[in-house]
Order: sequence, then C-alpha cells, then structure tokens
Amino acid sequence: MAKNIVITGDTVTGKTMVAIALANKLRARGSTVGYFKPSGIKSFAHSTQEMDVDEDAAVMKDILGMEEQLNCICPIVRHMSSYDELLRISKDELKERIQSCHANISKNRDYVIIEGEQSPWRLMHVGLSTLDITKELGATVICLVNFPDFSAIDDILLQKELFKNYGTERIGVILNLVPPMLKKVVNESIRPFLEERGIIFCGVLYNNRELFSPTIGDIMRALDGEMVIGSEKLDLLIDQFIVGSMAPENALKWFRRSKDKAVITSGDRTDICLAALETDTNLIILTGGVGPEIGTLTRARELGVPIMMTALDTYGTSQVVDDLIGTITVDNKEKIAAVERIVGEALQLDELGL
Amino acid sequence: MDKQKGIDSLFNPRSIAVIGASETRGKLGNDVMRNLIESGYEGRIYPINPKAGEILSHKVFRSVRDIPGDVDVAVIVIPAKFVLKAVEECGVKGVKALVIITAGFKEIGHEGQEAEKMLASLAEDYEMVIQGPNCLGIINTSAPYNASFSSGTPKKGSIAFASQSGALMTGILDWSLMEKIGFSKFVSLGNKAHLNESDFIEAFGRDSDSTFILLYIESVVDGRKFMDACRKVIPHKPIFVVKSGVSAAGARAASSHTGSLAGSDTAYDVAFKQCGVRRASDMAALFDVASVFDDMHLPSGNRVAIITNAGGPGILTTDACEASGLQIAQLTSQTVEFLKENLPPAAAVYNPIDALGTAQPEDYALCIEAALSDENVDSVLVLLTPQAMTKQAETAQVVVDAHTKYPGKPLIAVFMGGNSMVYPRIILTEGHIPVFDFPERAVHALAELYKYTVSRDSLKDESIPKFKADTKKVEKIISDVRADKRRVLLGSEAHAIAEAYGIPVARIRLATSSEEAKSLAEELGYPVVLKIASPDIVHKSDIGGIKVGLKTPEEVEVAFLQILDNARSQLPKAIIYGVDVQEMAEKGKELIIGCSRDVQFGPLIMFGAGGIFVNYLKDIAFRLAPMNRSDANELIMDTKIGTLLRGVRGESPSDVVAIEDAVLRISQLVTDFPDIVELDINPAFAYEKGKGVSAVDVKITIGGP
Repeated sequence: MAKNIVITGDTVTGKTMVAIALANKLRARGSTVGYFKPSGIKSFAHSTQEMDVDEDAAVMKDILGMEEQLNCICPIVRHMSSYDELLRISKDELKERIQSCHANISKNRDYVIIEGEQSPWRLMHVGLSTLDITKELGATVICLVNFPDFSAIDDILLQKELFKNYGTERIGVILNLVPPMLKKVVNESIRPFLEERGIIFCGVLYNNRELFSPTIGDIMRALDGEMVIGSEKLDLLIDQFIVGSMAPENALKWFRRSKDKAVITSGDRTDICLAALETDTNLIILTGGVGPEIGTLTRARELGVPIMMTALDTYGTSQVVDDLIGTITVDNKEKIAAVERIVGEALQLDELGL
Repeated sequence: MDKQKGIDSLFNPRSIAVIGASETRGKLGNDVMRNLIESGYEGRIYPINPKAGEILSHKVFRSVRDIPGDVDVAVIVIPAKFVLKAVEECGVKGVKALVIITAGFKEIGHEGQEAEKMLASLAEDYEMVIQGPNCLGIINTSAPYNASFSSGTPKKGSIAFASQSGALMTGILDWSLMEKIGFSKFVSLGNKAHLNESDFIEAFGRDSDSTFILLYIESVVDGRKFMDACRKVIPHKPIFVVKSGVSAAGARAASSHTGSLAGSDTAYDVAFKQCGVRRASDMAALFDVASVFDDMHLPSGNRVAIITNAGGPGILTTDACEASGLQIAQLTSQTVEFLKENLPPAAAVYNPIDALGTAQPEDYALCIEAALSDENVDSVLVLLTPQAMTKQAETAQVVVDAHTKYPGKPLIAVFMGGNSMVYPRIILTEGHIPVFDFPERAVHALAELYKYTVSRDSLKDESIPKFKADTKKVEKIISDVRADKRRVLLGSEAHAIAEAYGIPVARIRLATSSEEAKSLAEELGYPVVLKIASPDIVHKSDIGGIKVGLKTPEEVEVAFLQILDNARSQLPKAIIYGVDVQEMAEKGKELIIGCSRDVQFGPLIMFGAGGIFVNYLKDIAFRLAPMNRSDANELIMDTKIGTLLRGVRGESPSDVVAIEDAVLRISQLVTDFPDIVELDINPAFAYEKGKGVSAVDVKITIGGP
C-alpha cells in the first residue's frame, strides 16, 4: 500500500517545487513515487479536444515518467466557468473518480505525492477540500506557509486546528519566502515555539532569488535570441541582469558586485564584454544584432561562458528580462536540477516518519 | 626553465635555421634570408625548405632534423598550420630559441589561441624560448644579425627597443636611418605567447651593448613581473615606455586589438611611477628622448644654461624649462665676468645668455664653452635663429667642437628655421648633437632624462611594514559571505574586517528587529545612525535607507520601521538582511581610502578627499599595494587634501601618521586577502594630531569562486 503525502499551501509555484524536490529525495532512496492532483485547473495551452489538462500534472507526469493518462493523474479539471461547475456533478461521482484514479496511481508505488489546493478549505463545497482528501486517504500533511513576517505564526496554528478537526493530529510545516533577516529568530525561537505545539518542522525556504531566476533558455525564448556559443548551457540560472554601457574602468567595479549574472551590451563593446568575462558572468547578451568581436569570442569560449544575440536594442532587452521569472513548465525543464538542489537542501523530513 | 639563458642564445646565436626560407623575392622567407645575409651575420645559416637545393647560395635542408650540427635559433616563416610540427622538431633537435614570425594565432580566434598555448607548453617541455608568434622578428646590431622581414637594418647604437606593434617598428626603423639613431636590439614582441616584455626588459638590463630601453606596449602580460624586472634595471639604465590605450576609446581599441582586458590606465601610470619607469605621452616624445640620450650623458642635475641669438626664443625656452621642472641655472660670477668681457655691451650675460642677432660662430663658441665649464650648469641648450649675419653651418660646427671638448654635459641644439637649417642640422647630427626645430621638444626631452635620474635615485629599499592582524577572523567572515552566495559584504561584516586589521572604525552591528536595534543602540551609546543592510541597495540615502542622529530608543524604533518600509516599497526585489546600527563618529576631515584590484597589477589603493563630492572634486591619488611608509606618505601628499592635513592658516595639523597607518593596514589587508576585489572607506574622518582616524562607512566586495 502506497504512502500518501499531501502538500498544501497558498503559493502556486511553491507546491510543485516542493513536490519535485520531495519526489527526488524519495527516489534517491530507491522508492517508487507517483504524483496525484485530485483537482486542477484547465490549461488552455496544453489541453486537447479530447482531454482537459492541468499543467502541473503534465509537468510531473513528465518528470516522474508516469505512464498513467493525464486525466487519471488529475481526474477533475476545472474550467472556472461557473460557481457550480462541480456542484452539477454529484459528490459521489467526484469521490468515485478520485478514488479510482488514486487507486490506479498508488498501485505498485511506495509513495504518492498529492498536490492539494491553495488553502486546505478550498472546494469544501463539494467535499473535495484538501482536508477531506487527507482524511479520506489517510495522508501525511505538509503545509507550505508563506512567512514574510511574524504574523504568519497564526496561519500555521489555524491550519493545525483545521486538520485536527478532520482527524489529522500532526502536520508538517515548511516556511516559505522567509526574509534572510528572520533567519536567526526562525531557527532559535519560532521553530521551538511551533514544535512545542505539536507541529513538525520540515524546513525553511528563504527568499531566494535563485528559485525564481530565469534560465538562459527562458531568456532566449523571451528575447527571441540566438546562442552564438554555449547552446549546451541553457539550464544555467541567471540571478541578475546588468546593462553594460559604462566606462570600462567602472565596469569591473559593478560587475564584481554580482554573481551568476547576465551582462547586456552591444557587440562592439569588447571592453565591456572582456570585463564581464573577467568577473562571475553566466551569460553575455549582445543587443542590436551586433555580433561579438573575435577577442570576446575567444575568451568566452576559453572560459565556457555562453553568448546570446538578440535583435532587440539594449533598452528593449532590459525591459523584457527585468520581469522574467523562471518557472518549470511543460516546455521548460531546465530549472528542475536547481529546484531539486535548493528545495531539497531545505527539506527536513526525518520527523515526518516517511 | 631559465628564460634568460634562452634569450642569451637568441641574442648571440652561433647558427640560425630559417624554416620556410624561400628563393622567391617578395616572400617573407626570402626577406628574412636576405636580411640575415646582408646584416653581416657571421654564424652558420641553414635555410629549411622541402624543395632542397640552394637559396641565396646556402645549402637547403628539408628539415631541421637533417642539419648536421647544433642550431641555436630557428626563425619560423611557414603557414600557421605547420608551425606546431616545426616547433616540435626544433625541440627534438635541441634548438634553444625560436622566432615565430608566422601570424594566424590568438588574433584569429579560439583555435589560434589553443595553438598558442601549445606553443608555450612545447617551449617549456623542450626548454627553449619562443619570441612571437605574429611578429616582425629580431635584430641585434652588435652580433650582428637581422632575423626579420624589415626593410633595412638599423644603425648600430645603444638603444634597445621592444614593441608590441610590428608595423610601428618598421616605421621607426626607417625614420631612425634618416635621424641617425642607432639601436642595439630591435625586438618585435608579437603575441607574447612565451617571451614577453618583462623577459626582454631583464635581458636588455643585462646586455652590455644596451644603455637605454624603449618600449611600445598595449598591455603587459604580468604586471608584477613587469614591475620586478623594471626595478632591477632602472638603477643602471633608463626605461621609457609608450603605453597606448589612454583614453576610453583608445582602451576599447586596445581591448579589441589584443583580445585581452587591459588594466586601468591609472594602474599602468602608477606602476610605471613606482618602479621608476618614465612614461612618454607619445612616440615623438619617446624618440626625442632617445635621440638626446643616444648622443649625450645623463644630466647630473636640472640646472640649464640657454644660449641664444634672439630674445624671444630665449624667453620661450625659459618658460618651457620652468614648466618641465628644469631650473634656469644661476651662472657663476666668473662666467658672468668672462661673458661681459667678451660679448658686446648690449648682450645679456645672465641666463639666458643672449649673444645678440649679430652673434658669430666665435661668440657661440665662447658662450657654449663658458656654460659647459660652469659648475652651476648641468646642461646647455643652444638656440639659433637665421638672422642677417648668422652663419648657420659654421655655428653648427662650433657646437659639435664644443661637445667634443666637453663631452660630460648634455648639449642640445635648437636650430629654428627651414631651408637654411637643413645643412647645419646634418652637421649637428653627424657630429652627434641632438637637434630640434623648436625649443619645447628639446626641453621636454632633456627634462625627461633629468626626471629619470630623480626617479632612479628615489627608488629605495624600504621595508613594507607588517601590522598585527586577526586573519582568522577575516577568513571566517569571507567564508560565511561566500556560503551565503554573496559578493557584497554587509556593513557589519566589512567593519569587522577593518577592525580585525586594526583600522579604527565607527562600530557597527546588524539588527534584525527593532528591539535588537534598541539594545544595540544602548550598547554602542547614543546618538546612533541606522542604515539599511542589503547587498542589493547601493545608494542607501537615495531610498531613505539612512537615519542619523538618533538619540532615544523611541527614535531608533521609529527609524528602524521607517527604513524597512522605505526599502520594501522602493526596492521590493532587494533582499534585506536587517538594519545596521552604528555609533556616530565625531566629524573630522572627510577622506576616502579605497582599493580596486587591477587585472594586471593587483590592488590599486586610492586616497583623497572623501564625502559625497568625491566624484566631482576628483582630488585623489593612487599607489599599488603593497607599499612602504614613504609610499603612503607620498600618496597622501599627492592630493590637495594632503596639504590641508598638514594644517593651514593656523589650523592644527591632522594625524597624518594615523592616516598613513590606515592606508598601510589596508594595503596589508588587500595583499593578504586576494579575495577582496573592491574596498571603499568613505568617509573616513581624520582628527587632530594624536587623535587618530575613524572609518565611518566601509564597503567590501569579494571575488573568486
């Protein structure tokens, strides 16, 4: 009989990231892992005439190499078209769909990771809330809670009470988006405070830009760019973008301040390109369709730093990349390794007794 | 391996192979062969070409391996793709030095660069030296031999010249033949795959045929090695350098040409200064100096006598001397009396000596001799304008004769004019008198030679002071920052590092809650300053990230929350570590002390007037670390604020020794920790003598993996 783990929480990207990292950890121990999302939301980009598809389900199916159909991995896909789209289907039918699909997925697997709703009470109106599902399947619960400041302590206690009312005595908690300035107080005070109240502390995800950093692949797609060299490094993460238009003597000073950066400049600025290469640079973006000079190319090749060209000008490029957020989608799996590493390091699962 | 031994073979080969020698005129392999033969080379010449036979009456070998005897030098002029194999064969044969003229290496891209790396490693494997590739070749006038494709061989002389530009050399060679300037060695550096400027400077230093070293460079390969080589040579021989890429656009052109990031021009300037090298602003100035030095001894002081036949040029020359740091000599009373007796009454007998428009060669002769024999005079400038009674040619001869009689002091001619001066100038040049058209260039060249003697004499062997420091603590902070994946240190971390090196700082602590901020304020003592702590926020005051003069716990609490609010609302993406609480330092003279690690020369220390106007006043000076106490003192006194620190208009002097200490401690810190790539203390407050300094805002950026 497979062990069920429910991940619930009010962030969209966080849950899937934790699911990926958790699956990776369990698989590293030699366990077989499946993914199940009782209810999802239709992705119009990925759905077909025959089947409504939830994007997370599609991503996880791919990552875990699951053979089940997508409408089994995520049996209920909402269109968000009316308040009663689920009410129109009978509760029993919904429950039956979930049970049979879950049974299918848990067959021959050690673990099933179940992705819950944004908050545990969502879909209570049709008996499909994460609380209901957890109770139904006897799952271990991991709550992902955003923790921008102290006030989130009460959110955690509320969740604990909710699950208790549904028969789950102990829940695990992962604090998400914690500002580094709370590091000390979280470790020294908040963790013991929560543990005293019977909550299992499963880790902290600090406000880490890396998790949301775009990959070179993301950037290339956003800029409609072309790799001059380094096309094998599309999964490198870019933490910051710096526009290189300064005098060369100032360039080094600024470039030295950030690591894993992309430098945006024009192809004829060999001095800027060389200064960028002298520091910790993951990518050079050459704008205006002007290619690199041979000196830049030689040095970049020597150091293994990718160079991308785009037809956009420097201003246009910086506008595009400024709000670029790296997520894992069906078309973009370059970030998986980074997520497995960063989230995996933060997870502490011993107390959950998995 | 001992590269100098290799260069000795390169300078004085007993046999030379020309790989790629050709019978066909117009091919480089033919030019090299002809130059070698025509330069009068007396060793054995082995042309190498797969088509055997004879080239210019020398027996051709198919390969270096087929040569019966030893080969000291091989000159390689074959297409790039065959070079590595040829080099390897030379290695096996035991050739000691290679001159690779062939182009098509680093300058054509990655493959070329990889090939160049192979060249260097082959050189090391077989213990041979390589000049080039992509160079003009080498000429040694004292061997003599010319293993280059230059058109012509320079006159024999004592100037050693190395250039990063081969084309420039061809122009200079041609010009030197006209100007009768002689060279001892003429080296084209090329891509510097193995031998570079530092190796040749050291070799020129040891070479008894060379007394004067000229360089044209776009960059140096290894800044420290360059400085060490120059320091060794400067006490015996002057080194003059033209380094191009001064302007931003020039630097860009240099980067683009050499494919490597040039260090900052400031760093080059400081490096030259600190090792006694004179930097010429342009090629003309470089060769003006060379032409004077080629014929004259170095001046033993800066006192100049000017002899003229017209007032205007005399005054112009006087102005130029003063501007260049030369002094108008005060003639001894004997000289003055002698001139009074022998010149017309209207003549000016003090310096400048104006022998009037009517001056005849005899008048010039007695003036020049009097000046040369005057103990108050270190060098003599002779000006001549073509007036009605002037005898240009005869006067030129008089100058030549005077120098023969008194060869010890520099004697420079300035013959102003055109057609009438052509022949007199030839007389002067033939007679080894440097001659110029206008006075300014002559004065500049003379001043440069004098300044060389000053910088030579000021090179001292003063030891670098060593302060006690808590290096363990610095290591710990840096490794913690690295573990946190940051490059920029928080204020509290940077201040702790400064403190670990004994630099007095206004104490600073990081608070992560307003409560902590209040208790830290109590600990440090009111009033305090609060500053946002985030490596992502550069200009803290611009976003309301700094509150000063907080006197009570309530003010601290309010300021703490306001600062966080301001930062969050204005820079939502910035990652905030908390708020720094800092004690308020008593205001003193505002200074800036900084360091930026130059790619070529290492830590470049900056000192100057600090505060918010640094970028506008630009009252700053630089030195390379490590430095001794004299360096630190000179650094401070190079600035205008340095003068103020001594105390002006009744103000008491500042604690200059404490400032020197701070500079030296920073110099030691950045030398001990190459991880520190940028450091800025702005402001540091300097107090009255005995009351020390206080670093108020310390910023540090680390580099590395």
